[in-house]
Amino acid sequence: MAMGLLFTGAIMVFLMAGLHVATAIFFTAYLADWLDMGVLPSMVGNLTWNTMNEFLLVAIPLFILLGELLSRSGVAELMYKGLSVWLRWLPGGLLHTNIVASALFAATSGSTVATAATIGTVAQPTMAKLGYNERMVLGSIAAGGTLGILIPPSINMIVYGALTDVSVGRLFIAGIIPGLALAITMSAIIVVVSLIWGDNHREDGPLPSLVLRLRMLVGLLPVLFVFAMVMGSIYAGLATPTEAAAVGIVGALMIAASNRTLTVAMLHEAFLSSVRTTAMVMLVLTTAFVLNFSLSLTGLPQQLSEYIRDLNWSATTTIWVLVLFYLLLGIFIEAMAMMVTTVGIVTPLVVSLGFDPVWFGIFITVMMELAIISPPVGLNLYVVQNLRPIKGSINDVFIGVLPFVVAMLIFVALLIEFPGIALWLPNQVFN
Amino acid sequence: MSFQNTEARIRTISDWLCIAGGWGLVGLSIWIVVNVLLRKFASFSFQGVDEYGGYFLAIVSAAGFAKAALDKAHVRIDVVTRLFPLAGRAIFDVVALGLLFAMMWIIASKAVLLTYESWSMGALTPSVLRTPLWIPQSIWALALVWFTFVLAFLLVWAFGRLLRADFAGIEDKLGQDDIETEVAAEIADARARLATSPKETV
Amino acid sequence: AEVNMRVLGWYGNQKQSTDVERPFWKNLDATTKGQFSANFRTVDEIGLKGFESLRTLQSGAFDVVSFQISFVGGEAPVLMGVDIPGVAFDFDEQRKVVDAYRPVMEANLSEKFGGKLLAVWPFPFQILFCKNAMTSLDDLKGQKVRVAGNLSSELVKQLGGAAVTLAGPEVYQALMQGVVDCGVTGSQYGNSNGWYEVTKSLDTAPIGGAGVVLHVARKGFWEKLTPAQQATLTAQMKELETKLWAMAVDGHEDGIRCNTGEKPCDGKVGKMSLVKLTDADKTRIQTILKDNVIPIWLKDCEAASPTCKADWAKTVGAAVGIKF
Ligand code: NA
Ligand code: NA
Repeated sequence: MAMGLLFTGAIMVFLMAGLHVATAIFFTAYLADWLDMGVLPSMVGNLTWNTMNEFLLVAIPLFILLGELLSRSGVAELMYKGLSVWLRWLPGGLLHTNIVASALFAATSGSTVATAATIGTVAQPTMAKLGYNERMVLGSIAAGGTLGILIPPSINMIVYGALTDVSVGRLFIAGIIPGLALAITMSAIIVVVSLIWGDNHREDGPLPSLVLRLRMLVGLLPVLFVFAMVMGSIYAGLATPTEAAAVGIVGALMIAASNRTLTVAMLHEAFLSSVRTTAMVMLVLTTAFVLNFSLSLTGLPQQLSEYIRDLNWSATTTIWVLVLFYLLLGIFIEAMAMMVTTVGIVTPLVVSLGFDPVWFGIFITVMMELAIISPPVGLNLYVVQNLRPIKGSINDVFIGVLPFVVAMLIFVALLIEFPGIALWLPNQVFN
Repeated sequence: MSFQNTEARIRTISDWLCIAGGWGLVGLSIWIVVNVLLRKFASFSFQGVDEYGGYFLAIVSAAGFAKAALDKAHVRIDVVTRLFPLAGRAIFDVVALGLLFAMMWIIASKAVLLTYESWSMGALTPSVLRTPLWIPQSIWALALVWFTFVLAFLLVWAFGRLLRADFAGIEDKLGQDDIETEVAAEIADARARLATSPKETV
Repeated sequence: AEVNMRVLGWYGNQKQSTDVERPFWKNLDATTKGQFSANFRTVDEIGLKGFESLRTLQSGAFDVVSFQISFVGGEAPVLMGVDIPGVAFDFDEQRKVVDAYRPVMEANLSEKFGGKLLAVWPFPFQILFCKNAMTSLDDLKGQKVRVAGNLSSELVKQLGGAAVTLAGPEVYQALMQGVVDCGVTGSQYGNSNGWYEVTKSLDTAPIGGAGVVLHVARKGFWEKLTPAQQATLTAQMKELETKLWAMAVDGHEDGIRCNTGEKPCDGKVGKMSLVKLTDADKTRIQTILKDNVIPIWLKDCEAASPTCKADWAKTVGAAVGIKF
């Protein structure tokens, strides 16, 4: 236990001293190994080659590129408009469009910031409209963006799958219902808050005719098409999840071509951005594997499991302690870093308590979503702050996101109480 | 050769490495899709798509490391360090850069060693392709060495500035962008993407 | 203990590891009366895949490393001579092959990799799990078969199938969704990992060989031991080997019974139909072996060791009656 605290302390000190996350992880691994078997220096070459050369992780750059291509191909605006005419009658009006558009765009994008920035940009008109509670507008975009990693595809789930040897295909399918359920929970919160704070927006103009509204639904097709290609090729037995990412890219290229947005310049912009993001993720991930190697040699994960088991907490208590733990961690630490530094130890513990590793993958994804919208380290908050036409205090964003933090916590409770939310669909699909 | 010139050249090379990687990703995707279709409809499978995909990932990520460093994309957490005065922040920046360099020095030298071992033992992959491992490994190791070199270059520059007590210069080049700048870039990017949208038809 | 050693075992989620190896290393201090104790980890526990096992051995990170030969066949083609698919169809034959080839492996490990061979055992036979109904190997024609090594791949190709390469963790799902028609693995592994749920026919043709695993000590470690210590460790490893062989035989049969819903079964009960290997199948495999598989292997092997062909012919070839 003392060892565990030492390593946790070391990594926290390194991180807080402003080291790069990868460096902090890497030297913690060296420290752990130096205090234990001293074998890491002779293994580092093999470990990094092994991680970086892993075919399953090829899905990471492919899904990042897919999101980049799609958001550059001009599908987001039409999708937003198509949704808005159908959703604005709800209490909360266009706020629901923000959530649903995020959920839909999430079905093709693997990251949260890209989702929030894309939807936030097309949703900007809602911010200027009178009658909308601006804080709720900001909150709905920041929170809606986090659906990017819960609704497949999801970079974070691929990383979780790689670190824990859980099937990425299962994780993806498992994320669909929770993603929809969380979106619905967010919408429900919007209804509740709108009824409490007063829902006095009626500035959206006359509703277009039914025929026009139906025609506007065409705007949803490109995104649905790519989603169907990706998930459909997995489900129909055409492709593995890694291969499905490639199928999605070909789909996105086709859409960009048909929208006449496919140019060499556009491609090069997308390449620069996606290779950079890939490099960032892979450096952290590579060092995470090095840390996993060191820690498992020390036997710490097993000791920690035994320690927790000796506390004789119920499985539910343990999970709620973990919720608390991740909430606190998520305040200060970037979401992906939070996951890669902990799953090596926490997953075996949780599995030994009888939880399904696929379920835990969904659980930790939701905890990452919370981390992404909890200040001060929560990038989505700053994304929406910067989208505001008239800058106000960042506190507006912090307050606006609170109802959605509540929505996520309610959803976490549901996920713990009814694990079937995550497990039912993969069990149907795969058995 | 001034710092600016060299830095500009390093940036250009790093950008082109990313663009080459991107074209590679598109090529890999097309190859994978063709393989998927042939496997389904012609019961034919190329050998080693997974193997080459793996090498490709290793090389592309290593080649992207430098670009990510130059764009400050490698994640750091500044909740604590930003509370310090400028000189303090600059010192944290240099320490972080120094340790990142130390890590990459270790990794890159081990990668070179691994490549040498593969070459000297004539290691082939146990797959159908019998790829001599030193080939993909040497490209990968070279990309890691390139990144280590870029870090060394920045580090030498930073030490020079430190001696001249140019903390603002260091902070400007190495410091975390404040979140405003970072996000403004993100949003400018999103706008640029949407600017290419086709005109509405409804 | 006098000597505390670091041991890296093969995959830890199998009975060979949980029921035999882990207790063996844990009790080593007691069984050797304080001469040896071991710090034991498995390859999957520390996040490795096993392809790098020979490097791990040479790196000195561990004193004893165990690995499946087919995983390192690209670096050590000479070792592959003990596990060429189609050479042995049952455990008696495999035993003969191992005994005959052991000196060759010992020499190769010592000269090329700085290793001292301690134990050899089969993981065991890597057989076919297929989605479609089959009556004999002829039905493999046109089927997409996921295999790992180049020799198995050649065998599948010559049998009329399409050899497909997929990353290991994707195979279960690929079988389920029909991305591939067949996969090759051990009967028990396929049982504990649920392959029997997603496939129909179990064909016992050892397409993937016998999954031979080695325990190898680092020479630097071995040579520091006193002759008495070496004798003790050798005796202990012999015992371990015996237990793992027995487990291979029992486990192979048990896995077949479980997958096909027969009793008794120590695993999960499936309802696959068993495709028995016919004499015609065997003859076919042996022909392919001589004409196609061995020549491919020899090309690699002779590049690594000029005496490869003669060594193999004198040992394995003579033991199972293969001449070329
Ligand atoms: Na997504
Ligand atoms: Na946070």
